[in-house]
Amino acid sequence: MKKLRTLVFSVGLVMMIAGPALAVDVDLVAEKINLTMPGTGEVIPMWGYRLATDDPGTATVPGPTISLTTADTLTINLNNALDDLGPGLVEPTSIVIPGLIATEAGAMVPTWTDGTSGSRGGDVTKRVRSFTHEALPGGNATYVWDTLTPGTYLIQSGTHPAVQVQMGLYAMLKVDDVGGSSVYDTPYNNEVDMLFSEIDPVIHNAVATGNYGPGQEITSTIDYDPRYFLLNGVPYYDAGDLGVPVVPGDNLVRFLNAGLQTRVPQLLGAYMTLLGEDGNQVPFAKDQSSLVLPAGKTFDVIVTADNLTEIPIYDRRLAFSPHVVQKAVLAEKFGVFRSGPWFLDANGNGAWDPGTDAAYVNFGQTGDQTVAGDWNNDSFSQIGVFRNGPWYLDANGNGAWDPLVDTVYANFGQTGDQAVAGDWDGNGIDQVGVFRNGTWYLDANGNGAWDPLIDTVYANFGQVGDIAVAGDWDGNGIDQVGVFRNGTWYLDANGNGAWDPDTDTVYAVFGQAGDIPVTGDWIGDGTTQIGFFRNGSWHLDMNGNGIWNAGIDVEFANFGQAGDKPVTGNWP
Amino acid sequence: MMYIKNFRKLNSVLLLSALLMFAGMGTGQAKIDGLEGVTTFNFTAKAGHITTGEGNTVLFWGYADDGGHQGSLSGQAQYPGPTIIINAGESITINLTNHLPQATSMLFPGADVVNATGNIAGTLTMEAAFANGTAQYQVTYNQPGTYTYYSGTNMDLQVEMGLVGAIVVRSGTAGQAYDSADSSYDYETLFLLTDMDPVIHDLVEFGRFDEIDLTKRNAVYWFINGRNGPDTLLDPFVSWLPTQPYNSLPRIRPCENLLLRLVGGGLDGHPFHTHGNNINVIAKDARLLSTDGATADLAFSDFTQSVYPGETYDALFTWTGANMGWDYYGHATEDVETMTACEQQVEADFGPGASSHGLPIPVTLPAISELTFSPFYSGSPYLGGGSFLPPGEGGFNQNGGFYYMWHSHNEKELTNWDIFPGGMLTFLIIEPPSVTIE
Repeated sequence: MKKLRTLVFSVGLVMMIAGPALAVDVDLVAEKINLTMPGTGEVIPMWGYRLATDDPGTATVPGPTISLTTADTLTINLNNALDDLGPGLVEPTSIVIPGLIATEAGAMVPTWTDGTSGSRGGDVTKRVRSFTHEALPGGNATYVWDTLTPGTYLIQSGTHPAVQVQMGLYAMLKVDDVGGSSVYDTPYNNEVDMLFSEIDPVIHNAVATGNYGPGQEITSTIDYDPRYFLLNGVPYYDAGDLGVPVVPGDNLVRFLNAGLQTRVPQLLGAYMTLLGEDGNQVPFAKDQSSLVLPAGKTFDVIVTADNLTEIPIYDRRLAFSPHVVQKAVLAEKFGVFRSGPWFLDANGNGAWDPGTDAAYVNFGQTGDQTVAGDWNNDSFSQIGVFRNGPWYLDANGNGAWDPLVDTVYANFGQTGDQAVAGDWDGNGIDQVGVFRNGTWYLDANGNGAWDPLIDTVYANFGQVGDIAVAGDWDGNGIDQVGVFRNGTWYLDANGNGAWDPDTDTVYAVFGQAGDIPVTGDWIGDGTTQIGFFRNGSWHLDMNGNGIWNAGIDVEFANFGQAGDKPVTGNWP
Repeated sequence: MMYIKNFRKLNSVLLLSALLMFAGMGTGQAKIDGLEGVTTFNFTAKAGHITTGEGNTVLFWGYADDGGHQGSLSGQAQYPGPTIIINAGESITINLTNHLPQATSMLFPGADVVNATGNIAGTLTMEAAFANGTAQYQVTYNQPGTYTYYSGTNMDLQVEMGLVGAIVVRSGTAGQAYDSADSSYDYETLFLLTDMDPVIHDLVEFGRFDEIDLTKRNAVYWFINGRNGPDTLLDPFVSWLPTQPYNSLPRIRPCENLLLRLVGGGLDGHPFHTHGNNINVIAKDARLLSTDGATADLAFSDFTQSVYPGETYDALFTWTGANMGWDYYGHATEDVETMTACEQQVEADFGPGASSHGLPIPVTLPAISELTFSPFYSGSPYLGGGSFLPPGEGGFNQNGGFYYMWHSHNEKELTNWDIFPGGMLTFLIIEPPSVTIE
């Protein structure tokens, strides 16, 4: 089994107490932040907690983790910086810890919608706004828990929780037995935190812009429809994001759900022993491989791993964050040239399907170099060959050589040049070019002849022995050049035809010496990704990060054979 | 001798006509269909179409058993995948060929050993590449119980599409689910619960993968063993459901123990509800609910068991008719001769000196002209009874059994894309003691 990606934790550990009993004071600030979702780049307005000693604007979701023991007492001094949410937008807030009893004066006395607290009196128009006393916008409040019982707890807003908790005001509290590394008198030698939550961007944006509430665009969370599923504050995009490093022996896994939906963490290759839930020890330990984790719930389980270093844990409800569903067909497809005959994967499934895919009996000859491009501006690709100077392009796309119909360039390049094709000017039509030991000559005006001072020359990109490639690395509609050097790729990301170490792209390892580089927009996102052809097997960098990611990137094991010359294109 | 009231005197001509009328109606059974006695399987993941309860046709992706074994559909993708029945300690080998338009794989949560090979090193296991890729899984289950298998690639889509199945691992003792007498059963039945959003399936069928957004998923079909109600009641392997071989119509006689193997196979949780009696849940995720490993001392009783995706539960159900307050056999008062152990148990529940014998059903039955009939009503409230019914009524209840609806307690799930009744719905039949159950 492949080694799973290690989790990226955004959670700061504030306290790890394993010594004498302490009265622990934690100074938290609630403030707004913007989180950028990896994968989509969407910016989500959130509310989070940070330590008062940290810089403003550095709040995290979830907030800082607090780790204590039953010997400690906890005081949280909350500063409410939700006082500049936008024009006229402020929020009172507060903190509660379901499962622990707050002991400060006024603890858990409700605050009403008119800001009063205590008895509701006779005014039945009041509704509860907060479970407890609040820190008003710009103000402070203090919450105390004199008695801590072992287990795992959610620290969360007690004010307007339907809004504030899903906006990100939650954090984890761990309470261990005296001395630490033990909970419910069960010692552990490793601990793993798995705090699940969700984001509905529509609600977040409505709240952030004052369009949330009665009479507003979004009236409530009734249509809550999360689009991002977070683990410890980071969206997970597929099950592969949920690999958990474990150590031999007893691993304590703390499951928390700060979202509104039910998750079902599922272990693969291991069982867990249930120790406690909601900070209560279960009377009998039970073994199970799945765990129903509803909203607001916490579980503590032991996973004994003697021969494992990582255990996959995934949500068996299979709620993964938005991601590109793996396509059934490639947006840019394969083809091979076999010294005369061509075989094109017309249906884009990466396999040869006789009768469905396209076979051209004869276009070109042994020794020709192959290119493919949209010569006629029909948005499909046609084939072509370069024969040490002359080019023959299948302009009508019928796969056969038609004199007077198809295109001949009598002389562009010379023997020893490498042929490339690309849309150098962004007009939607591909033009030809050649690479000569580090120097590029591109037919910028598309007339098939070399026009000094008009056509493009890049004096120095690559070197002798490199294999030339071209593609739209940045999605601007214009193709740029690049070279493949024994598995390492150098791409002219800024399109200036010169190697700029700080701005251009290098992929250190994708393929190896002897592979034939291929490029194409495999997933149809408008940019060109890389790949290589090795004796009939195609390895494609589907996610475009220049690294082979098993499970994401794809190998097509069988299209063509050793000795074939690969091309790629959008075949009709 | 047992004295049966005149309800019992069925007109044989009427009975015959009723049988013919409902020839397609399942007779019910209490066994689990599946691949048994086989340890090497050649599966192909490929597309097919299912028929839903209201008559729709939906594309699905399923596992096809290419081995031609009894208990599956040879060479035909099926929904759900073939149920695999093996013995604890056995190893199975599954050779998977991929005819789907994307890579795929299989996961075996709870298995003790999984050795996987394949074209692609996937995130969770080795995968078979699309376009005829292959993978092989050698899997060993050392502990008995109920397990599930499903795709480990593009899981949110592929499980939704139907790549899920159940695995039954038998204990070393026949008639016991686990190595514990507390798991003894007379009959067993599988409830593999799944849910489906057909819009996603349509997008796959049309190749519009770009438009698939599983966070917008909205299931409108709910299945037991791959069928919606009322198709759950049909016989297994009926020809007109060529990709949905498994039914769900368990039946037992009074005092017999039925083992329910509940499997969460979809993407949503379902509160599975039994009428007739509580179930006693004895295991979760193929582990006996036990402090000592020998007795099911942590078993619990409920009548609605939430089954979430990936979970399995084993539960025992029995029905005695005790405490109903009337004589469901329809004995005569003087009928005090030898009673079966089951009848004695029922009698004992009436308390010392009391007897159910001769106690009639404590309601006045309306006249036939005032009744609206269920096809499951025999015409008599007594077990094994029967009586004249108006033409066209009744007929599904050949033996005069009691029908108890077993279903999702989320009543929304008793529909087939908004058409009631259907969805996650079937019946348990309590048959008279004289009926033979296969």
